[in-house]
Amino acid sequence: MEAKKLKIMVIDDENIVGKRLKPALEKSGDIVETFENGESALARFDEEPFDIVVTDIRMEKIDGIEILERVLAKSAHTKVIMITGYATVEIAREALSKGAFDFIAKPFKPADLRAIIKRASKELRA
Amino acid sequence: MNLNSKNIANYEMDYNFRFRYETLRALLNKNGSALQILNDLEADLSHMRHYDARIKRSVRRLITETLLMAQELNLLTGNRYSDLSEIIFQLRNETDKLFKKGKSTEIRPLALEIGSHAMPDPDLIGGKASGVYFLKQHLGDSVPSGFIVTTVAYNLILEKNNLQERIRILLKNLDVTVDKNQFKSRIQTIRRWIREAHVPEEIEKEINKYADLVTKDSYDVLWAVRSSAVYEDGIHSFAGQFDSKLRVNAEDLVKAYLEVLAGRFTERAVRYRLHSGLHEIDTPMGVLFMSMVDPVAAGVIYTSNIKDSDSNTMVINAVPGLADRMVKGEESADTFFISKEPHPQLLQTIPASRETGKETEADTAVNYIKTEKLLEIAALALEAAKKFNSDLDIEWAMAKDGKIYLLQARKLSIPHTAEEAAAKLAKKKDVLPILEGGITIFPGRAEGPVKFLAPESDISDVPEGTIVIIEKPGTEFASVLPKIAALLVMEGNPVGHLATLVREFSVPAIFRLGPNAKILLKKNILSVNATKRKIYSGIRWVGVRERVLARIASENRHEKSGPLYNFVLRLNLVDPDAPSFKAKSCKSIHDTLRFMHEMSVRSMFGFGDEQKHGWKKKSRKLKTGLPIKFQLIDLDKSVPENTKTVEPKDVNSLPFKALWRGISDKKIFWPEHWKKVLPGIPSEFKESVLGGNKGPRSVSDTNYAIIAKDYMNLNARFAYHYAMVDAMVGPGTENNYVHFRFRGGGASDENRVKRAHFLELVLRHSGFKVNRKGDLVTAWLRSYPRQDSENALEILGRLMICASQLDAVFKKDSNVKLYVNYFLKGEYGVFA
Amino acid sequence: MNILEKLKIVKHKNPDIIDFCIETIRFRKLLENAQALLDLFEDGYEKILGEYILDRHYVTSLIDNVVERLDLMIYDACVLAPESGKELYTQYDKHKLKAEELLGGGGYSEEKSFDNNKDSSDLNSVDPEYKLLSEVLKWFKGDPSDPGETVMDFMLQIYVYVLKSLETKNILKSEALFKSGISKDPGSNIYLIDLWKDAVVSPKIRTLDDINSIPLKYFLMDVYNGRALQDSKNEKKAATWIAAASEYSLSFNTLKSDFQFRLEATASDYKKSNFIFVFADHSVKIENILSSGFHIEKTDYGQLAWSLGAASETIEDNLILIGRNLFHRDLRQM
Repeated sequence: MEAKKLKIMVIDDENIVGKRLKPALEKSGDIVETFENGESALARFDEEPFDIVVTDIRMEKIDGIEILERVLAKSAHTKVIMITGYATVEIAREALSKGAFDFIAKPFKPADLRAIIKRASKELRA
Repeated sequence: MNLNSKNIANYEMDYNFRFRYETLRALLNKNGSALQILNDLEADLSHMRHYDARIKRSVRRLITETLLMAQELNLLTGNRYSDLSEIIFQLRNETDKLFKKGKSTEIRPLALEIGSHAMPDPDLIGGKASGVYFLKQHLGDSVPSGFIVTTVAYNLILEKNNLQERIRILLKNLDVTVDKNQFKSRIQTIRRWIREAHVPEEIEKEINKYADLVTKDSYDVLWAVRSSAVYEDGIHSFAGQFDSKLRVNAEDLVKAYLEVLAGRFTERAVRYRLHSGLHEIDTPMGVLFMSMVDPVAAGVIYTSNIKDSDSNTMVINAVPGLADRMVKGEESADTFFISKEPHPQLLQTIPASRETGKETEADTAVNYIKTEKLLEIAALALEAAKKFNSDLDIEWAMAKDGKIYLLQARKLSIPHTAEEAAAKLAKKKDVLPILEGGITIFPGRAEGPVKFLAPESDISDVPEGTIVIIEKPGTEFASVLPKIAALLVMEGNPVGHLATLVREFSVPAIFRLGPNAKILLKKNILSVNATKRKIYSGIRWVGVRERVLARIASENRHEKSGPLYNFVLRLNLVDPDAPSFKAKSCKSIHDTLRFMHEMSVRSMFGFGDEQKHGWKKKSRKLKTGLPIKFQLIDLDKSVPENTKTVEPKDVNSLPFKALWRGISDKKIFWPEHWKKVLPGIPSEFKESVLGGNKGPRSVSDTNYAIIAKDYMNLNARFAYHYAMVDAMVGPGTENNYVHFRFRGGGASDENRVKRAHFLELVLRHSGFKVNRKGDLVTAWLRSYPRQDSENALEILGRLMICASQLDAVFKKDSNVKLYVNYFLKGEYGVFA
Repeated sequence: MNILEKLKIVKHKNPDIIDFCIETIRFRKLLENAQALLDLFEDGYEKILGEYILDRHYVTSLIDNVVERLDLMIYDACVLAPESGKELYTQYDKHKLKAEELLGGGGYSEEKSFDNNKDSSDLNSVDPEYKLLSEVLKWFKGDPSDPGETVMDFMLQIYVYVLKSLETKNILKSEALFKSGISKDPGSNIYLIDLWKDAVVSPKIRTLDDINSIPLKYFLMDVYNGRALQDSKNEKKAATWIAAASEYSLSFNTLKSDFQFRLEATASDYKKSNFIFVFADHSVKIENILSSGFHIEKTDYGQLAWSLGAASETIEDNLILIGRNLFHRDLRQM
């Protein structure tokens, strides 16, 4: 059975993240769009929902938790994965309770994130 | 390199200062790590055997650090404490002996057959399996065959799947009651991780090997897979908490194994475990695999009636078929009362569908089990109880061919009826706590009368079972810990020796409650839940008080931990002022740490005095408008280079800045005659008065401050007084300290003593510990967070200036207390 | 000849023994800190090579950790080699400054390099985090185009200072330590010390079985099996050795000889703390003694080599090999 192409959204105000994740995740044939701030990301999400959203937890203006909440409100079965960094593990745990699928801490290899996305996509199909 | 001898002298002197300072830092850092290791050891020893590899490793690491610290202390003090090294070597040898005595670490099987060897270590197979093992050894055939996958396998799985760290992160700081959804989802995540874990090949092999061994030639053997956690069915009872899987096929054994492991992480089980104060990670689990009896009847037998411990009756609960639903409480059982003496006899039957009031005849059987079989069960159970030397709760089953099997045995703890009834009372959900918050230092519940202890109180008259409230933590309260119910601390810092002692004595404790804790003093009795950081008025739970008193009375409080405790953790040297505070008196590693910390910091007094010559060239002058002269010696480039004078704002030393804030406080009034430059009077005069060269030291001495980013050692002499401040203040907390010493010169003896008294009172009110001997005042503040330490230094700054003005003040008015109040209120003007 | 007869007896309790043991333990601490430093380097390299997604905080904390480790190492070194103390701290301060420099700006303040011809997959030169990380790695180990004073160089220098200092002390040691009453047996030449016991226990005759030391057993295993410990014809190469051992650790070095050799090893179940460290002066070809898998560095003073974090079986095999090679006749004829 051929796996459907995933629509993945990556949100992180650090340029390095989107820049490196996009090609890495597109390798498996999925569609990836990257954003460097929550507003534009959510606006895009309003146009059409994504299967997977990968978002940094701590960003200015709109932070990862808010993105999580708004994404899930719009599309309950979207899988949201949080990227944590320095001192944000506690918030990540909170995110899990708010419905985030999992979290991954920087520094990480794109392959590790791919593994989480793979698991998430299994649940999407289930 | 410039071979000019003067330069070399300066260089060397410089290096000596630097090395001394670095030695102090090295020692203090090691002390911090050592205390951390101690804390963790304490927690681990409460449920791990002392010869566990992890414990051995930690202890050895600890001792190595301690030995190196001793070397550092001797470097600081010119080898004054050479005894210490010997003591530490000896402690290492003693602990090594203990590790040898423990069970050999070579026998670490992943699995073993039930009943096959000598009784294995409960840490290897868990409580339940230990019970079954024992049964099998003594009752042979009457116990189904099986095998156990040990805690070694469990640890291996956690390790290979990197689960320990992930679980730890997820469960950290979990407050079970605050957000139930959060708790639930975290638990679900953990269960998922476990179920999806990869089982290492060697474990799978062992499972298959033993499964084949046990079943031999029989086919269609179904298995019962059950958890057997360390400390389940032991001291802490987790009855019914874990999952078991029944009727498992041989090919599904590995899957069932993982599911049973995952079953350990149910919400109920985790909540129970956290409440009992255990560490989640370190209660490993064995898993019991037993060939299933296909029963026509099964149930439980209590070898004594739990409702009436004096009776001569046993109680059997039975159901047709499997008993697991009955055990979980999901199915009602038929109850049979059997007498013990002189031999088992059926006394009474109460069918499951019991109707109140109806009694049935003694011999009324139920159709699935005959009376003679019930008596057989009873006889077998009695035999088991004799072997265990305790009343038992035994799970039994009867096969199709009538054979009776015993499946599991647990020692019975018969609760007192009073407690049972009272437990019902305890459901007072509507009462709210009167105080919440703070930091849990040691979990648990306690209840008792409340008492406030001021720093100078007589500790010996604190009644047993009291809940004690103190303002700030200090080791002088150590002696009260063994007899109190709980400790509540208003301010100060949740680290340091008192916290360690609290844990050593297992006293429920909450620190940093805040000033509002004063309201607790209005109550008579408090109920404290240190785990949840909630305090209630009056009695809230029953049985807690008894347990508290039992803990206090118990002599074998440390039985679990063993002799390792005495050599490593026990703190004997509590009071640094006691004459017994000597290297020779150190009996444990903790003692040596305490001793070395104290001595190293004390040794920094007079740090700079040892170098008397030539350092002026390497020091910088502090530029200030205030009539104070200081030379600065820079240890680690905290001061801009290449300038001969430095302004206070450019001194990049935390403690110095804080002290200076106090000294330069605008509210301090400098007397006019000190500021005026009298014409014609040589500047040396000004220096001699303001630079403070009169007094006990010679004219050539100057005020100096040795500084580094987080350190300051200051010696000041002015207006006949001599003040010394030694402080280490960094972003951390454990190693921070502020030390102060003051001796006043000039004036009459009477005034000197008054001045000292003034200092003593102000310092004490400002949080310092103080020691006054005649006119010499020594004060210290240890292990406080950065902010508190800085505040203390500011106070010292102001105090030094004000104190030096006291002579004039005392001429007018000798009311010490009055001036103490002025100072504490910030009215520095009066000191001019 | 029975090896037991070859092992020297430490008869007399002596404060110098305590000092020697503490010194050994301090040296091992230095090694431990050095190992941790090397681990930090490796972590940084792993991140950059593995194209990890990282943030600035990772790099800054890497820098902080390195400075902290260096700090610890320097202190240990000053205790062991006080005469080099000021030089060590001077160098350390320089490195601290460099670290501050890196922390202060690094990749962010550099001009952007716009090279349109660059392969788009070569991301390293553009992301500021990666730029900073590469500068940090350059500071650690340098690169061929820009050697400079690296942390690695400093580390090697520290070793040299310390080893030099220990060597000087050894000469005095062999007099002080074993003066009284020990007969010099021409065939025997290893002094055996139980690292933790002999400081405080009344002197007793130490044999290999006495000291429960895994690395020592493996080290002398082949030697124990009967190979001659020393070619007695080669008096010139006669060397006295001292072995200080504990359950999992071994310190083995020349006490009195015309070449200098030192071996430190830990062999335990806990992989992370296992290691072998070897120093040999230039009169011995270190590659002939060690198996492959050792990292070797050559300095003017001598050769350093290490193997870190291996499984206990690997360490044990290596020790057997080194022991055999070291005492093999042929090696000594150089």
